[in-house]
Amino acid sequence: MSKTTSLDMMLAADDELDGATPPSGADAEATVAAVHELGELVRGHLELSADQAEPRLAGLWDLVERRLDLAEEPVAPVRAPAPAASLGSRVWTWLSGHRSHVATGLVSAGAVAALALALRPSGGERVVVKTVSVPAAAPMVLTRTPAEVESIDVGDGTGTVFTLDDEDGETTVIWVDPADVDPTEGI
Amino acid sequence: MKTCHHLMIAALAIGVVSTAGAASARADVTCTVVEVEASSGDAAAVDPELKPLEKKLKKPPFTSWNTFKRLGATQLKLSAQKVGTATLVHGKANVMLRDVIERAGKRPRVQLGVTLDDESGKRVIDTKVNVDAGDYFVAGRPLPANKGHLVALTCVMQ
Repeated sequence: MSKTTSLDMMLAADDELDGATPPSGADAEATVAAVHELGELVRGHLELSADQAEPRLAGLWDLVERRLDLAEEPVAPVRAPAPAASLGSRVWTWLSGHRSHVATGLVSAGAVAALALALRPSGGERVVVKTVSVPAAAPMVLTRTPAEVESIDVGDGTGTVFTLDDEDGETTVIWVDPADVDPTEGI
Repeated sequence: MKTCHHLMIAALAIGVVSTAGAASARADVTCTVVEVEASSGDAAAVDPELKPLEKKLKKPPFTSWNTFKRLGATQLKLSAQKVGTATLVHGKANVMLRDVIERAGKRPRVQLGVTLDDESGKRVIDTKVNVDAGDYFVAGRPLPANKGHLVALTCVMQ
């Protein structure tokens, strides 16, 4: 006769001997009772744990369901590329990007305007526009220079250089007396 | 090689400056040659076309005559170093524009070379004269029969 093992006793406690003779005796009954008790304890503990985890699992399932719903939504069509931004929109974009600089400039301009207003002369002065007659400028007169004879060759005659002066200015004259001219010829 | 380039640029600059300086003689100078015959007559007469010279013709030594007749006038368009020829009744006049000097506040100064030949082609006068633009320069000589031959020259800028 084979010796009864703990496995035989656990199978007997679970009614899984498949027709084999269950172990008998006081030890076997105590062991089966202990296995039953231990099983009850384990089941009770697991049920408690399941009850405690139920709210968290319910939230998890809600999250999974929402994700599944999102995945089933139709995909939005791909947008066409935006048309080229207009000049105004680009300026606005630039201003938006440089908001701090623009604000600084405006504040500075305001400060300067305030200073100018504060330091302006008192309002008692008035600007008077007078029309004055200015004598017409005399026409520019270019000065004259008498003629200048650099060189003169009169051959075998006699040359005389003189200047005639009148209100029209000076006129330089070269007078030549040829040696072979008879002024009385032809008279 | 770099030095060579610098030298070439300097030479070009000097050339440009020199060319600009040499171009002081304008190409648009017009000289007028007026030929006058002086004689003595019973009544004094000065050709109306000689109005610009009338006052001068009434001064010595031109007071030897009392009649002044314009024989002709020739306009010569001259450029620098070019000679213009005016054929006269009593010979020939050659006028060369040597240069034109521009002066601030003053009239341009025309530098001329003038030669005057008589009827036979004999050189009577060969002179270099500088005269203000618009002023007259006169060359004269006696003619037979107690007459006088005057050649008045004036140049203006166009």
